[in-house]
Parts: sequence; structure tokens; C-alpha cells
Amino acid sequence: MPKFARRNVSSKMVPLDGLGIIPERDAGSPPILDIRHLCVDFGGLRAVDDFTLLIGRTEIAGLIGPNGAGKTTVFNLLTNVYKPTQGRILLNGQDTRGKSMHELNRLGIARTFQNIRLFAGMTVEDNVKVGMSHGYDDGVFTDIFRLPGWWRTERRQHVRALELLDLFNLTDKADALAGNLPYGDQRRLEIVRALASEPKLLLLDEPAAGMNPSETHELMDNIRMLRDQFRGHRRAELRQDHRQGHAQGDPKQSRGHRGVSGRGGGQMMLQVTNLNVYYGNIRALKDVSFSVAEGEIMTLIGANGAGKTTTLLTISGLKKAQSGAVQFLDKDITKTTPQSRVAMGISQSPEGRRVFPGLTVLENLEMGAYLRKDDFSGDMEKVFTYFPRLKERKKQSAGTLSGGEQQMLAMGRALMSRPKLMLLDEPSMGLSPLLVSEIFEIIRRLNDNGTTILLVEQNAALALKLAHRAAVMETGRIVLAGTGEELSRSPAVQKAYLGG
Amino acid sequence: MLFLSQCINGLQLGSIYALVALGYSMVYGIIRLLNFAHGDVIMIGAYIAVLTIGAGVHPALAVVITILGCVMVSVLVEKVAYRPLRSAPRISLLITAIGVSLLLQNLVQLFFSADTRAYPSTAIIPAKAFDLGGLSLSLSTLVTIVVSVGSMVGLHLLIQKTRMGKAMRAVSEDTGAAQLMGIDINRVISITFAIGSALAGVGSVLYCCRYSIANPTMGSLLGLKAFVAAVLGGIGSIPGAVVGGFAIGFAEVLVTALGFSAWTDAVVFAILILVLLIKPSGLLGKGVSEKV
Amino acid sequence: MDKAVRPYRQIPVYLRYLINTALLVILLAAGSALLASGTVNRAQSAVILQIGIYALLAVSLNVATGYLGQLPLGHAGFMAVGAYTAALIWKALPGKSLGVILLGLLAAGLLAAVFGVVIGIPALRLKGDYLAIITLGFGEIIRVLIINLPGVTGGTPGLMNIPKHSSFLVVYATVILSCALIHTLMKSRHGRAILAIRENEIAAEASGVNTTFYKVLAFTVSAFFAGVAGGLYAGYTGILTPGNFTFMTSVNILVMVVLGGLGSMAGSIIAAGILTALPLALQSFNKYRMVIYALLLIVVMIFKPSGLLGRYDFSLTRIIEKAINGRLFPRKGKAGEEHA
Repeated sequence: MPKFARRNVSSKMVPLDGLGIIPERDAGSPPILDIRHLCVDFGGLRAVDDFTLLIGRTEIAGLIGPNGAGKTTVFNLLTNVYKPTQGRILLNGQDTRGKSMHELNRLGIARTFQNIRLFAGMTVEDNVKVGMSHGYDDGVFTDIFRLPGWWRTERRQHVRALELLDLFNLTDKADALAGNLPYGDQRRLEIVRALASEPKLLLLDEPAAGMNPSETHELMDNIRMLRDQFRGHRRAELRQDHRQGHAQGDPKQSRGHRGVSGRGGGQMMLQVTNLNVYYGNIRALKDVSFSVAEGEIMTLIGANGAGKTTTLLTISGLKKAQSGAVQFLDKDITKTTPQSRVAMGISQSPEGRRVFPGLTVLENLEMGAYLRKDDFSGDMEKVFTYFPRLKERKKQSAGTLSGGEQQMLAMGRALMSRPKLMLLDEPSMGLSPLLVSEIFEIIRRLNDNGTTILLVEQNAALALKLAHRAAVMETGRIVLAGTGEELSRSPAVQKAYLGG
Repeated sequence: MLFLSQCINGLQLGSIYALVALGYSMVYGIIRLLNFAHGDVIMIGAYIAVLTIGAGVHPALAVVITILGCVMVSVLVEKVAYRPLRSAPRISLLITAIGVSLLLQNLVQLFFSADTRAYPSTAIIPAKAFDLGGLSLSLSTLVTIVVSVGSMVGLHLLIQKTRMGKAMRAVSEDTGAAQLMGIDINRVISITFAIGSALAGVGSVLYCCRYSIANPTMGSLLGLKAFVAAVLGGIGSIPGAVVGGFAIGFAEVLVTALGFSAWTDAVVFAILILVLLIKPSGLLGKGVSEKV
Repeated sequence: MDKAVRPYRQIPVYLRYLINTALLVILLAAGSALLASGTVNRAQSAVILQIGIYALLAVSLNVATGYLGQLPLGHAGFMAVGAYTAALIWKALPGKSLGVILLGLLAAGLLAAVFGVVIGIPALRLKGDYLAIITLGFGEIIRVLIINLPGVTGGTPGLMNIPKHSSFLVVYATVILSCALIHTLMKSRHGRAILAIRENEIAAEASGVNTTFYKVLAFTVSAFFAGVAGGLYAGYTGILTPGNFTFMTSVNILVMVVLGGLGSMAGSIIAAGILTALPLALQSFNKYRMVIYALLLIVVMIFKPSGLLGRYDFSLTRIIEKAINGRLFPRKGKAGEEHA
């Protein structure tokens, strides 16, 4: 469940209803947002459970929590993308149930999205103007026949759009295509577009994802400025971000650091050199270099959007690198097909598990052994020894397994090919602490039995305790590297990732 | 008695639709493409049969060549026209499929004229009939039903029990994860197209034996109706295609039997529209939603 | 980032309107005179009229495909509704007065628009592939209705002796007016809403755009002008049969839109022109015409999926502006680049 942290710079806070606190000046009026006992179920899974939250005017509230905690789901519930199973939401005293998304926008909620959703083929100015969807009520005929109403509307929208763009210094890019903007500007444009609808409540979903520390600070300042600017209009913001800060790299140690060989280090098994990977115009990996030695556990930690998953996908061959090299067992595999990499001994348990839901547990494991020409029943037995719960559910459809069981299945499936190197992407995601320690124990056993492991994790504490060597990624770069112990003792890492 | 013979009629037509619908469903399941050109592959099969038998080839061999021909055309189309668009927006893929359909029809028209030809049905299935207590059952009907059901059972076993079948299911559920297993998705997709069009080839032979004609545009209407069948059953669902095929077959026979044969096409499309409005994922299908 | 020190000189709005109107009037007059003078032979003037009609069909389909981003495959159905409506009205009302012609075309468009709303509301709840098939289904149903209501439509043998009202002036004035109206629609906040839906429907909805309303609006506008084009078609051929309005007809129009550029009105017009005139020019190649079309479609989709002109939005005044400011030919150099 997402943790809720409030920050209100200048008001005195008073309690309300025993459920929360709101600024004193708003004690008389209804809170802007009043959520009580919100629940939503997806199939058999309860994604949001008894979520209660009150937000008063001109507040900035933050929703934090690890991946899979339910933050975006709450946002989606607030904007009626999903219908809640239970509970109610009041916006300014009005029940939001049953209203369509655009009606909610009219009532005063505007949002940005975790994955940027701009109108890429339209100009920056037009993007903002689309946000001004209400408050102008001329009909279609006024526009078609260019009656005076059209001229008025166009003028007003033009002036207002430029005003809003000016808040974030985007005015001189007004005629550029939104899709061509640099990443940071795209995020800012999304916020401007949301502001254009004159919302009473602004929901910002991970607005700083993929930004470096200085960009993030700038953005936070902008948000505070917004809040202060619009004080007269009574605005509140709900912002979700599960990073608590950043680790500043020690320049000596960053960039291409190959790491110290601690216990477990043997031959160099995997060598990644100067990897650059793009998603469209956006550079997701910037000159990433590191190595993994035979027999060790190497871990990559970092916040959401840092590029960890992209790194694993590139190693497995699902993403192509623009430049750079990947070497496995001294062979250059940068341009080889994904299936040949599996044949060479690299397997992955991907982010989000990605088991085949329509296939049974047994069939999923068989798929893991797809390339094996020999009898793999022995390996299957081994997997069942590691994960006895899977044995009980052999004939069950993978889609009906719980999150933890799916994680076990994904790992078991990755084991079936007898990999030399196993890539694990966020095995702890969305799992209870008990299950997480169970899984991590199994990872340790796997490593003790000879499998080299490259682990990507958001749960930095556990990952650093487990791993021999580690690297910290931020906005596509490796900023720190060292042994697991070194990094867990580093004050920068402690502050940023270990809550210290 | 009349009712029973109409039922058999429906079974025959339905099994042909089911065979063709299977091809649509399999391809949609794996690459989310509505292969407009699928019906035209059937037309090509018909022409191959006409030509080979006309050249004196033994009918059994001609059938094999027909099926192989359908497979080859389909696999070639996939490699040349669909594979380059694997990551393109869906509209582009749809438009390309329409282009391929047009191309096949007009190429055949170019080389063979638009005239309708006679199809040598009796060479493939002799015109015999059995009398079952007053009910006349033609050999053609019997063969159609038996072969169709046999093919469907065979397909089911293939998909459920073989390694390749499971790989096909895996690729249609999660292409990326399938790649992580070492599955060569290009190969799996080609095989899916091959199997789907092999079934269409069989359907082609059976269809032409029933109607005894071949012309360049015959694939469109048959394809369209089989397509409705696939959507009715739930596109992407293999049992759905079978259910849908028989449903449409029976519906058509029913409408004709009630004397409204001029409206059969409209009825089929009306069924399509009703399904899409009430339950777009079809009788047995599952919906896919977009992540926000 | 360097910027030109000289401010960009813009043409004032009233002058823009003047230039555009003058241009269109000149084209209209010139064309009319050309046809009247007899320099053009019968076959050629027939093609010129056809180009106008198909241009309007392509432009109207472009509203639903290029601007809204959907793929309706039943455009011929709306064309048919408009054609038969105009035909029946013109057969019933004698004379060649402007009022009668206008009435026929307007009724054609309106009835087609009604069908557009009726079909659009359920159909637009579906996405992508499903929308394509359901509109295909509706188009076929319209055709079957035409065949099976011989009392009204003349059934399969068709409707004859329709007064041929579609002179050059009628056709091209209608086409120009229609394109102007579509243009003004798209350059308003309603047009922006429609484009936003194409770009990212969920974001549009979350930004306050009533997507259901705008999807149906775009679809209905598309149907309206298809109906008008159908009316022009009826007034051109004088005979209507259900065989004129098959799925193939819809595909032909789609080819024009796709080749011209999904989202470019100029592209649709140019492609309609080329694809209609080409068979005349290449009569010896007529056999191969459809094969070439099909290949063209596939090749364009593989290599330039946005169509030949992409989303290019033609504007004479913008070209003149660029010329005045010396920016007619783009200079080499990056205009501010990426990097997060």
C-alpha cells in the first residue's frame, strides 16, 4: 500500500475527522479531495485496500511507495479510469462516481501520466490548447463559419497558452512539435497542459521519473512556485514519487568502473561496454559499462526510470543498442538474436514475471527448457525442490497463481535452460516481506550452487546485503560501483536508497 | 427428415467455415492481424487444383499440391509484406493486408481472366450418395465433415500437446517473454501462418467440391463470412473459431431454408454487428485492455 | 540556441483570406472556361469531373482516417446513401435551378450524416481492427438494403434517368466549399480535439475532451461529405446500381487517402487526381492497373506508412510567408536537439 507523506510549507495544520490533517484556513470548508475506504480488485487481486486520504486547499501532498504498491492505481481510480470496488471519492464535496474522465476534468481534476502521454504530432501550443477544453462553449457551427466567436476563442486560447507556457519557460518552443522536445520539456509540457484546464486538484504521476538530480530539484521548485502562484485559486497537488533522493557519485568511482573483485569473483563472464540505448529520441542508457564475474552475484540498484530494466533487456537481446558492446564468455553478442543468447547460457526472469498465463505451471517450465534437446526432467525436479509450492500446482494455469508463486515460476522457468548467467529483474516487486526473504534466500542458494546472477532491484537494502558487487544507476548512467558491502556503507547510498 | 438433411447441410457448410475461421483466429492470436488476404489464399488453392487436375495430375496428388501451394503463398506473404511491419501501427498492417488481398485477386485475374471456371469436384470426390433410411447423404458431405473434424482434432492435439504448439501459445500470449525462452518468434509465426493456410487449403478443396466453381473473387465473400465466424467465436480463440464456424454455417442454412436466401449475406453481417456491439471479444474470447 | 535576429514577417489575416479566395475563384473560372471552350475532349472532361468527385470522397474519408485516426471500411455505404437520396430528389423535382441542385446535395449529405450518427455511436465504441470490420459490415448491409428495396432504389438493375446536374461549376464549387468547411473545422478547437484523440485518446479524455462526442462528430462529418460526393456522383453518371458501391469502392477511396497521406487534405486531393487520371493516361496499362495499385499500397505501407505527403498541411499563404522571409528552402543545421 502506498505510504502517504504530506508537506505543507506555510500553513498551520489541524486535525480533521480523526482521519488526517488539513490546513487551518480550510477547516471550515470541505477538503478538496476526500477519499474514504477506497478498494479495488482486479480479478482475485486486491490492488488498493481501504485507502483513505484527505487533501485541503493549496497543499502539496506526496504519495510514495515502491513499485507495485498501487500508487498509479490510486491515480487511475481518482480519474475514473478504473471503477472502485468499494469506497467513495469526493472532489470538492461532489461524488465522482460514474462520471467520465472528461467530466471529472470539468469538475476540476487534471493529471499527468507515468508514461508521458503528449499529443506528439501536434505543436506545443496546441497541446496546451487541448487542455483548455472547457470554458469555451461556442458550437461547431461558430467555428466552421468563422463567426466572431471563433476569433474570440482563438485569441483567448492563444494568449492563455503562451501565459502558461511561460511559467515553465517553454514559450519559445510554442511552435515545435511536442514529440520532438527533449525529455524534461515533455514532462513540463504535460504539466502545463494539465494546468490549462484550470484544475482545483492537480495529480502528478512520477513527474521526475528519468530526470537527474538537478533537473528534479528544478522541477520541484517549479511545482512549489505553481502552488504559490495559484494560491488565490486554491489548488492542491498530489504527487507520487517513490524516490527519496539521489546518490551523488564519487567522481573517482563512477563511469565505467569495473568494480573490485570481492568474494565469489572468478573469470569475467559478462562484459558490457559503453552501451547506449534509445527509446525513440530519448536516451535511456548512456555509456553504461560494467562486468559480471563468474560465480558472483552482481546487482544494479537505482530508482524507477534509471535504466536497469533496459540494461537487462539489452543483454537478453530484446532491445537493440545504438552503440556499445555486450560480451559473454569472451564472445561479442551485441548483434546476435535473443534466442542465440539463451542458447549460449543467458536466461532472464523478467520484470513483472511475465509467465504465460494460459499455459500450466508445467508447460511454462517446459518453455523454459525449449532449447534443450536432452531429458530435462531432472532439472524440473530440482526446480520443484527449490519451489515446493510449484509442485503442488503443476497442472494449474499460471495466470491463476498468486504474485509470489508467479515469481517462483518465472525464476524456475529461467532455471530450466541450465543457464550460466541468470538475469533477475525486480524479483521482490509487489511481494510481502516474508516472501521476499524466501526468494532472496533461494537466490543465494542458486548462486552457491554455481549460477552467476545479475540482479536488478529496487529493494536496495536486501540487494546490497546479498550481492558481492553492486552498481548504482541514475538516469541511464552508472554513478557508483563497488562491493555490496562498500555501497551499503556509503553515506550517499544510505541517504538516497537505504533511508539512512 | 427435411430438418435432418438441413442440419447435415449446416454441418457441412459450418465445417468449411470453421476450417477457414481457424486460420484467421490463429494468425490474429499471434500477431494481432486481421489477415484480409486469408480468403484469397483459398481462391489461389482453387486455381491450383483446377490447373493441376486439368494437367492430368492424379487428384490425390493435386490435393496435396493445392495445400502446399496455399502454405507457400501464405508464408511468402508473411515474410515479405507483414514481417517488415511487425512493430508498425495496426492501421498500417491492416491496410497492407487489404493490399495483399487486392494483389492476389488481381494477379489471378490478370493471368486467368475474371471468368468463372468449372472446378473438377467429381475428380476429387466422386459423386456418390448414401441412403440412410430415406436420408440422402452425399459422399462429398461425408468427406467434408469427417476431414474437417479430423483436422480440428489434429490441430487441437498439436496446440495442446506438442512443443511447437505450446510455443505458438506462448508467443501469442507474450512475445517478449517467449523470446527470453529462446523461441525463434519469426519461425513460430511462419509456422502459424503455414498451419492456418494448410487448413485453408483443405477448406478450399472441400468448398470447391461443394460449389464446383472457381473465380478470382470467390475468396472475398467466403473469407468475409469465415471471418465473421472467427469474430463470433472470439478471434484469437481456437475453439471459438470452431464454434463460430458452425454457428454461421447453420445460420446461413436456416435463413435459406426459411426462404430468405437473398438476405443471407445481410444476416451474416448483422450477426457480426450484434456480436461486436454486445460482446466484442466474442463467445469464447477474452478482451485485452490498455495499460494507463 | 541561435535565433534569427530579424522578426518573422507574417501576412495579416484579412490578406490571407483575400489571397486564398482570389486563388480559388481564379481556378474555378479558369476551369469552367476551359471546359466550355471545347479544348478538352469528352473523355478528358469526364475525367476532370471524376477527379473532383473522388477528391471529395478522399477528403471526406481523410477526416475519419487521417484526422481521427480510425479505419472505417464502409465509406461506399455513405456515398450510396447520398447518391440515391440526391437522385430521387432530382428525379422528383424538375428543372436545373440552383435551389433544386442545392436541395439534392444538402439532403444527400444530411441523410448520409444521419446514417453516420446511427452507425458511428455503436461502432466508435470499438477500436482499431474491430471498428474496421464493423464499418465494413455496415457498408455491406447498406448495399444489401439497396438491392432488396427495389421499390425505392430500383434494386439490382438500378436507378435510371437521373438528371445530370453535375457540371464543372457545380462539382468544383461544391468540392471547394466542402474542403473549406472541413479546413475551418480542423483549425478550430474542435479540430484540435479530434487530432488529440488520434494522438492519444486517453490523454485527450483526461484533458477534458469528450471523446465520444468528437469521435461521432468526425465520423458524421466524414459521412456527410461522402453523401454530398455521392450526390455529385449521381448527377454525373445519371445511373446508379448497387454494384457501384461495393467494398472495392471503399478500398479504392482508401487507397487514395493512404497514398496521399493520412492527415493531409492536399495529399488526398492530389492522390485522387493522379489515381483517377492515370487509367486514362495509361490506357494500354489498364489491365495492370489494379495490380499496380495493390503493389503501391503495400510498398507505401512498408516504406512510408504515413503516406506520400504524410500529414502535410498545404497553405498557400504560409508558402508566401516563407518566401517573403527568405525561408523557402530550409537551411542545413539542427534546430535544437534532444537529450535528457
